[in-house]
Amino acid sequence: MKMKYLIENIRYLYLLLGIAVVIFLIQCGLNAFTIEMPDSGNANEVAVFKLHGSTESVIDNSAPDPTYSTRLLVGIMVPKSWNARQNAVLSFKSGKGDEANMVLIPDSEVEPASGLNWSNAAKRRFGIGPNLFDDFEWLVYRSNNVYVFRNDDDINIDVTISCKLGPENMIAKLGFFLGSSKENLRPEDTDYTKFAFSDQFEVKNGTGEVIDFVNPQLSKIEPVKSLDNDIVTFTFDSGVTHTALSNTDDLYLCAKAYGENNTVISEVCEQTARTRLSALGGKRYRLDLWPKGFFDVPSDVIISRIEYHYTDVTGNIKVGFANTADPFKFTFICR
Amino acid sequence: MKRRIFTFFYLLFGTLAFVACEDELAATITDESLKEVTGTWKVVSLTRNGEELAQRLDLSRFRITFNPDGTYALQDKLAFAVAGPGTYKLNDPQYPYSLILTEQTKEAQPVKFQFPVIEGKRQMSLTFSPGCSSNTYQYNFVKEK
Repeated sequence: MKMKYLIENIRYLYLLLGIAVVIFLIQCGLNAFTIEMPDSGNANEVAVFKLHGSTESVIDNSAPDPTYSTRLLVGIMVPKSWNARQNAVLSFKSGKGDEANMVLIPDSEVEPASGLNWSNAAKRRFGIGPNLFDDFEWLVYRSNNVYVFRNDDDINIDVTISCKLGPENMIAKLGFFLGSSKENLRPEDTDYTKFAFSDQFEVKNGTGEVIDFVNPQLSKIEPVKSLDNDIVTFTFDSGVTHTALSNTDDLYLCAKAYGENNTVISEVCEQTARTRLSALGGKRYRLDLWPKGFFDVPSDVIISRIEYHYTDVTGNIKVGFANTADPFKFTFICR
Repeated sequence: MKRRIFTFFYLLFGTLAFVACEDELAATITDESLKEVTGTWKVVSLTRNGEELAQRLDLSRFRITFNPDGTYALQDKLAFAVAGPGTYKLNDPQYPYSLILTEQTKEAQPVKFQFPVIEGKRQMSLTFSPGCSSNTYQYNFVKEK
């Protein structure tokens, strides 16, 4: 009986040793990569982003199969409005081979570690990084070919991402990852998956006011993509900078609505309950409203944009864009 | 002998119980009831992209009334699927998943329809996008009268 027990324990010991050997002797890790990209690009024009990475392959040559076979994974996180599914092309050059068109993994395919599609799995794993609010999507691409690594197969990988930018002016930090299809997106894996977020990237010469995902905003409107028949939320963050309204919690919205021909069709600038912002704490204030109702315009009249200030209870002290007398501006647009 | 009597008794009891269950199942009515929405409904919950807004907006005056003659009327205005009165119908009276609202002189607006019982009370849940299609609103109503 004792003998049988001993043999079983030895089997477990061998199993553990085997796993340890595999872990320590086969490490085809990716090194951290760098991002090469411009500071800005023009709306509706193609911009190019490059990732420079490398591998570090440590495999025991005496192992039964001293190889590691995998496909390259590349993920990009870009604003949804860029429509990168249609507009992005990913290619790479490496010591193992080049490919001109990596394949976008379709939403119908499940990432095994999370049970989600690859786009959602990447979002769960990497998030939106340093961006303050979300209107981004992760897209994950895979190499067409399988590449076989042996011990000391340390190669460079240079990925090129060409993507037509979206139509809107914006400031955002983009996300990227490099990974191995053999490992999927296991949350605990840090050897085979490397990710990074870019410096600030600006889309210029596009439509609408600049959507700034990066810098804390004195004022913002959410959802970022809204029409006049949505319910929108105005947030005033008095903690971002000292303003003439920093010493009061009694704040009101003063706004003008512009029609399709760019003329003012309605103005609400009163200090009443319907324009008063609610304090959220931490010098942040909020007002939710339905623009069509707030400005009392008929259902068939379209409000194309608004200009607004925040005021105190007297209406005499006003704060606008970048803490100046200029109004904040918001264009109602869906994409 | 005594054991045989008991065995017989158990078999008889088991058979009767089985037959009784069979009758019970056969008597169960399997027809789904018609979904009755006529009446006046008020909003108890409103979410935008999953974020609850009901406590942040004045929804107290908004009502939708479905009349037996197939017309509906709105009281007060909100970001809703329709802006004025018109006609309504469920896509299926027994298993509806869509409520079709047709505002006078305008195109029909199908909205997602659910009819759950929440905390013992029947609710009518309507889901739609009155502005950008990326923004989804779910209104939950309870019947007022």
